[in-house]
Amino acid sequence: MLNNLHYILCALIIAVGLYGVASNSNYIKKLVCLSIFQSGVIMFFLAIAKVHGGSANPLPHVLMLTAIVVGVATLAVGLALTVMIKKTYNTIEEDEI
Amino acid sequence: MVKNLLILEILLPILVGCVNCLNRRSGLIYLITSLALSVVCCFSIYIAFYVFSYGDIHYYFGGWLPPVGIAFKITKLKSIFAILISSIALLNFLQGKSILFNELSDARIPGFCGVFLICVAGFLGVVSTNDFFNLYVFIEIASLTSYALVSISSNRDSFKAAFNYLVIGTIAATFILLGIGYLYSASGTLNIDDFITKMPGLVNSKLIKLGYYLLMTGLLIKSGLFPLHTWFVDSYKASSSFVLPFLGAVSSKTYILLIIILNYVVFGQDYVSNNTRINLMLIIMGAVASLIAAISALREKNLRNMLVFSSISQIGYIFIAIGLGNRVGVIVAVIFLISNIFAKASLFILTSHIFLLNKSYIIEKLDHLKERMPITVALFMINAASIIGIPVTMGFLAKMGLIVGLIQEGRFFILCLIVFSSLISLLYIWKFLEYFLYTKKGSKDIESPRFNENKVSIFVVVLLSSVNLLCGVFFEEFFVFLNNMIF
Amino acid sequence: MSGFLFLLLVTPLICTFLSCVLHKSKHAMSIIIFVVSSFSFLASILLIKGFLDIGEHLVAMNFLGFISMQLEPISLIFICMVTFLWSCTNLYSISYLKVNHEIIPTKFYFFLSISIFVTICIALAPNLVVTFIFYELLTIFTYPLVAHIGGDKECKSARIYLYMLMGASMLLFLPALGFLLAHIGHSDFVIGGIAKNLPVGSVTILFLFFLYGVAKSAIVPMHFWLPEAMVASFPVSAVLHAVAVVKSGIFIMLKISVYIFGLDYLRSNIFSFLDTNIVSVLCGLSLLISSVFAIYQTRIKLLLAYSTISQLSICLLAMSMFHPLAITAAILHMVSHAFGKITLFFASGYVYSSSKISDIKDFAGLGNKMKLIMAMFTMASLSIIGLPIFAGFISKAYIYYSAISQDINYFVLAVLSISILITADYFIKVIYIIYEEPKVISKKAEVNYSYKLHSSMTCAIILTFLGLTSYMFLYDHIVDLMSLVAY
Repeated sequence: MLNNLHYILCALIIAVGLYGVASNSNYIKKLVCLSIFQSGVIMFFLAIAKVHGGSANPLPHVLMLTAIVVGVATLAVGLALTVMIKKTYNTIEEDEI
Repeated sequence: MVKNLLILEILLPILVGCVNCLNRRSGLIYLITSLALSVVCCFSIYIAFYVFSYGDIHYYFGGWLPPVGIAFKITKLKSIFAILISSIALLNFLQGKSILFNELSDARIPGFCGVFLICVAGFLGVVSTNDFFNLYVFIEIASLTSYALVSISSNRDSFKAAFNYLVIGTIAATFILLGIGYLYSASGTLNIDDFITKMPGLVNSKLIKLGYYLLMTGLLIKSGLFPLHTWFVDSYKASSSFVLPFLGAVSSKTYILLIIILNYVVFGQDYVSNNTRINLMLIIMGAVASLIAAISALREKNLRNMLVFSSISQIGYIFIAIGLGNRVGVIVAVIFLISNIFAKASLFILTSHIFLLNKSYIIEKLDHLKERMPITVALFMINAASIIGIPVTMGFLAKMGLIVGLIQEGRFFILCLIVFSSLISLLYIWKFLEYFLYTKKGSKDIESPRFNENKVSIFVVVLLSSVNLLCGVFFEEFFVFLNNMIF
Repeated sequence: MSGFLFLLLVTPLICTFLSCVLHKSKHAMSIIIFVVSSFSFLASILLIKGFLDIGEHLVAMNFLGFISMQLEPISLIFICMVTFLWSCTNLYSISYLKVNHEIIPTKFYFFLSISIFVTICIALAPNLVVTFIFYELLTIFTYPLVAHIGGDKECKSARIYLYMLMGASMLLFLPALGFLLAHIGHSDFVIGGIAKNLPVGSVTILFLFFLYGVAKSAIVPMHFWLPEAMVASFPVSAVLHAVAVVKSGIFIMLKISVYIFGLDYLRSNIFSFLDTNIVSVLCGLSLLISSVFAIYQTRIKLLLAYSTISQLSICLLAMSMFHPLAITAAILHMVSHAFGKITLFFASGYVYSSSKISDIKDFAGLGNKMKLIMAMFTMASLSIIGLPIFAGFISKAYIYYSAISQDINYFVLAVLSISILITADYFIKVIYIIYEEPKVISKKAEVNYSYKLHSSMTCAIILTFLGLTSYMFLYDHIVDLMSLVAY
């Protein structure tokens, strides 16, 4: 169990992010939880890169750089949409629309 | 030389798309985008001819051979889909000029064209790639640009729908990433061909199973299978009528193609049938999807929404075919994909022009449309016949193949369900056609002047419908071609 | 031989083309179309002669290299009957269209000629899949003729017509066809049948699926479309819903019994019930129910519709005895009923176009005003009842003969006798009304019936009546031709 603590931690972060996306009604909070969700997955990849008694496998690190960029782009698009929603409906709570 | 075309096909739209955003003159941008799309279409046709004559093409980035480097690979099936994607994009762009300039202001058109080109590049990349992580990157490129495309619309609801689409699409793509992570950690390679060679040794691995399930979940969410289809309906209802023929016809079908390749080539039916229970799940969900979506479409009075529900119903059929698990299933699924791409693209194009001239999608306003737009109604009937499954269209071949496949597997209950849902599809389409063809009592305008139908869009739809009809009539040659094309 | 086949197929297509081209001069169009259609009858007679010269049981012909067709006695008799009666209908329509202006000649001739083309293709189809394709196309091409006028009532009836026929074929015919393809791999019409490889318990259910799926043969639960189709004009009801459409249903059932299942196989494997097989019981029930419905009808067209349903059930009853003599009896009855019913429809259409009478009680006293037409009406109805010197007697006597020939089939004998009595009841009621002097002279009957005005209608009625009376010389030839069928 203690051996796999880092994997359990990643799973927790993923779960927290996913729950946050589903339960929050504020658009900004949804985006932040989405970002947390993606971070969890990124951490999982980094966790599997560890090699005992040697340097870590660099391939997952490199792939995750790309994934982080993709996450940033998604966040940007999401925030742009939130700005437009605010302009159209004057609120960013999903319940009020 | 041909190998370079493979990568140029994807680089060219991205470059032209980025350059587009710099300029401001919408007419010039429209011309440049059309040229770029036609060049991409020519590339894809040339590549398809090459693949059918000489075999698969591989392109290795930077000269690094797999498993070290990233590779692109085009097989016969993928090349046909590349042609379909690029030609639907081109035809949609050509015929939509009046619609585009009507819906968007001049200042936004360059940005829109840029995003459109990058979206096309994304889908072409999804189809061409042979590397798992590269697949994830192209899926994300295609998805991000489609979120943007959905939001660029004159409809008020488009932002909210695009946001929901973004959230659900990103969750799905992240599941795909997680699945790829599991597959990588189990097999040590990201190259798909290399993974196929390593699969027989990894059959009992729990990591592979979990990775497979995660990958499938992500792709199923993106394809719009029944319980996971809510984003599909809302975002397509809210998107502009220029974007809908392209996105509605191409996006979910590309992900379904990926699922077919995953199930039948990468993992192979031996693994999928023996170690996972996904076939049964796909058949049941597909049958439920087709029935419930058909019933929802029956209650719709809005033409476009009815077509969107009809798309979900047809996607249900495709998943039943995939879930059959034998060669008949694959062939039927591919026929469904091709016929749906043609028929749905034509129907959405016709609907957008009906909306442009009549200012409404509601059924009562479209009374006796035959007098105002006769050619449109005739073409609508032909493509609707393909959706219902009336003979001499490709849709009939697909439906017949599905019935034969289900009987061979002995799944009679599912057969009852899909037969009922195809009857319901007749009902919901005929309801609209009857309003188009005949005048109802109490209709307000007695004077119905003949509208000027857009010649380019009519030409495009005639082209798509004639391919549909030709394949339906000469079905034996078509079956031989498909058999050759499918691995 | 292939030249005659080409002529036969091309003639309806030429008529279709002429109806589009000649839309300026409607009267000339009618006459030219009649002349062209009589060539098709000539071609079918010459085709029979050519077939007799070859002397085989089943002749397969190849057209243009990829279209294959099949000729055998049953289809030749069907084609001959359809082309002759189509030419008579074209003759009839020359005057009918002149008098009744609510029918648009171009649309009428276009869809009528295409429907006849599709009917001939059904007759020439080499396997059940092609038959199914043309069967569905027939429903689609006859729909515009039913909903011709386009009012609310016609649209509603035409909708029921379409839903019922397409529903039955989608729910029952297509899955049964799929079952055949799944287990045997092909559905070609072969001497002796191909059903020997089917799982044994499934034969009865499969045959029943075909029986109810081919809804054009109007067996009782699937008969609702026929009274609804009577909103069409009289020539359409006459040629399509007394001759082409319904007889193609009977034709398809005959071909399925003889060439797909094989008579010996059916005789030994169908579930037996009440000392006879279940198919006979179901057809007999259908016969009794439809005859009883006919008694309560007050409009002439609905009476003729229910009478058609009961006579078709007699054909199916004859077929259900499953031996060669019975098949010959079914064909004889098919032809005699076609001639009789079309004469009745033509005569009623004559009355309708003169004075818009469609209720039976308004027919009172017409026997003295239109002596010739009403005499032929009377004799045609006596033929359908089966009175000795008329055509119907010969065919019904043949059915009795085939019921006693092998094992005495008491059920068929009993049901047939009861039906003759019921048919006599409702037809003699009509004849009595026609010849009885009315107590109150209704306004409608005070119209001058001039033969000159409706000369072509009179000629057509005389022509079909001659066909009826010459039946006693004709039936010999039919029996001779049927003896060439190999079972």
